[in-house]
Amino acid sequence: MVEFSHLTKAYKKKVVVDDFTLSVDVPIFGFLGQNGAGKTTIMKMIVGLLAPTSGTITIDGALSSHPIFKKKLGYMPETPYFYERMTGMEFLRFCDELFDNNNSGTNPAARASHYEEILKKVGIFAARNAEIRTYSKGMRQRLGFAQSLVNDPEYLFLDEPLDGLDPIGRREMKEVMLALKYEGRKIFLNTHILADVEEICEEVGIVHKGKLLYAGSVKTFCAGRPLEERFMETIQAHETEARLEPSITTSATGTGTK
Amino acid sequence: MARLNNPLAKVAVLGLLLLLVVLLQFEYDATKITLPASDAQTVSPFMVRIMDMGFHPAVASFLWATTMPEILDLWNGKSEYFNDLAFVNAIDPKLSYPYAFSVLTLPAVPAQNDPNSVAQAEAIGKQGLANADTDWRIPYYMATNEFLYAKNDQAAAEYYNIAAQTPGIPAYAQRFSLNFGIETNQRQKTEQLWETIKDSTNDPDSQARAQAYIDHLQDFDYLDAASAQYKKEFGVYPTSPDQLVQKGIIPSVPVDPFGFTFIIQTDGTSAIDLNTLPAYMTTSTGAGE
Amino acid sequence: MRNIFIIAKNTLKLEIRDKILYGIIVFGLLYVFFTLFLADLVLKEPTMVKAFGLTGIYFFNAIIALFLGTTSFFKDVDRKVVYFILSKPVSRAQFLLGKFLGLCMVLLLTSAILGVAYLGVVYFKVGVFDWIGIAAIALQFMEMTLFLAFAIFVSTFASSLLSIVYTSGVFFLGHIVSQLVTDAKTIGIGGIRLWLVEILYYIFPNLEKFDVRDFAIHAVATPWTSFGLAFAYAVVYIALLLTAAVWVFDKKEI
Repeated sequence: MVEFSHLTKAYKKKVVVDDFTLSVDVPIFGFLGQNGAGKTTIMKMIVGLLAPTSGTITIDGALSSHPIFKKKLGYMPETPYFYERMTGMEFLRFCDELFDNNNSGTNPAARASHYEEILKKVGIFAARNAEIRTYSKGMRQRLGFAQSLVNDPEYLFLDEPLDGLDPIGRREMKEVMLALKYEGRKIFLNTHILADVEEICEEVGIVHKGKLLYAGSVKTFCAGRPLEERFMETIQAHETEARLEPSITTSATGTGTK
Repeated sequence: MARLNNPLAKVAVLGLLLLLVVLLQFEYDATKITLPASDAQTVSPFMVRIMDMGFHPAVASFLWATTMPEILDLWNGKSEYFNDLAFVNAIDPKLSYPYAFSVLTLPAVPAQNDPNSVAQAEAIGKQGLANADTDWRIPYYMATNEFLYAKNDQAAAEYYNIAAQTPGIPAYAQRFSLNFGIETNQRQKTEQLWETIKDSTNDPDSQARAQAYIDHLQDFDYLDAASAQYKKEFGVYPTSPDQLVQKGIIPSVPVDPFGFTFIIQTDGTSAIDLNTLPAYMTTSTGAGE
Repeated sequence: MRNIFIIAKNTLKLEIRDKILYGIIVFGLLYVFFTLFLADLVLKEPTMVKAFGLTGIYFFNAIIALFLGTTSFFKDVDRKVVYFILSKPVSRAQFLLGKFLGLCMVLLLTSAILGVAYLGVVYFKVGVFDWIGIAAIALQFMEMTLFLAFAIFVSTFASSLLSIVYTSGVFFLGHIVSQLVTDAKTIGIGGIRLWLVEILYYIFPNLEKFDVRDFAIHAVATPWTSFGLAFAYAVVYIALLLTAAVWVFDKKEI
């Protein structure tokens, strides 16, 4: 179980993540929100790239950003940037070595086939020995996804994993995610595409301007209506409330607010 | 404007533009107003040492490479050599070769161009002994100058002594230094000395000069031996080198590298004819070589 | 700890693939061979040939250190490649130290390449195998690592261009500063001005002590104590710079 407890991130004048509290224990959870809502910041804090101003994130009771726990995580950043002169295989090996599992040292051949398996899964096996600078946008996304799997993680945190993929690619990656779910892994993903949430997430967290507006089952939230409608409704209601009573901050709880 | 698809046309256009640039530059140079050139020496050794980021030896070495040829100007009169040498020394006083080179080469400047060349060489040599890295060549060349030019055997012996004890002195020079004063034959001593000088330097001019001296001295030995041979065969000494040729003792009279004429003296030994000096020595006012 | 070596090895591998580095090394080698020509200009005088050669090695390694130090670390952070690395069980300190170590290894490689070329030139032109030259090259390598540490430190808070300016400035001052102190005293500057210069002398990385080059060239008996002290100075100053760099980097919002 992943728990966010009063998670806050504030820069000098701006509060980017505002008193975020949430518990998640489902196979696939989606953070849904517009661009700039704070989703990426939250994910960066989970994996320890950013430190929270206050609050904690724990996974099964342990701090998620602790090095010991990081071994069980896989992370895919939004718009992944690579060392352009490495090949796909080299990059996976490099990432794997950083996990200090002693796996890469002891049996390079076995690890090599492990990387090849992953690359096949994400569909860039053919380009595994080409330098990353020759990769297209779609291939880079897939490689980003691939490196999140090298350490056989229990938990996966994917920031906009389907961004930049063509329709076929999106279908393929969604199937990979479902396959991972059936392997027993837990997936968190950031997205602003409503259709994806509807399709693969059991639960959703609606993030708007740093606040959690709703967290819980997708079906319950929709209540039979299209997700888009419900989403727009929720956002607008929040905006209205904020305008009327700007001094009251709506603190989000684990259940739906409407 | 029509697109230029023809590569030849593109080249032509670029060529024309370049030509225009050159013409404009030409025109500018022809018409610009030039200010009188400044004579100021803008950089002092202090500034160079501050700015060269610790590269003193390399900068000094490079400046030395440009300074060395200036010594030839001394044969024609005025030269920047001494100023530039001082500059090089100021940037890196430890660089020994400039001192050594000066001590070796300055005495060769004819007296009419620079009457003080030997004294200047000695002054630079003393500076070098004080400031530069230990370099056997400095005391060695100073010693040879004392012997050859100042005719001061005692001073020569002192410098030879210093040289002999300087680390890095090659065997041939050390042997000579240690044995200076033991050889009674002046000519042989001088000849050996020039041999050591020739071996110690890479400068082709210095090597040529040393070789000239060696040839000059060896010519005397050659003529002396021929004269003794003549005496053995004919009972009397020859009266001139030509007689040696006529009688078949030697194939021809050696040509002296300095242009002197050889004579045979009454005691059978050879010498130079002091009455007929080479042409270049009889010109009156400083026309050099 | 192991992570530091992994990142170092990776840095070395990637920088070697960098074309700009090749360009600089080629220029460096060209210069070392240019000293063949310079040697003739000074009639193969050994001291001078060594001066040209060692200075060239120093100069080109300095350019390489400047280039690597101001761009390698900065680019990884600025271009967010670090997201992949720091989201794994790798601390920021390990990453920074790993980069530093990797870049040191690159400098070691370039020093070796230029050094071998230099020794070859001296051997063929002057006929001497310059053992002390090796010591001089070793000490200049220490100076370059110090330079590198400074460049990385600056690049934790400044962009590449600024880093280049600051780092070159310090490098320049580091050489001038001891020169200024001695020459200033000779000229007769005193009082507060001399005081200021002396403070700078102690605080700024004082790079003159790495000039075993001078000793190598002038064949003065190698002062091994000075050598040892210079080495220790480099190690301590590098520790200082890297500690500061890690502090700054730890606080940096990426």
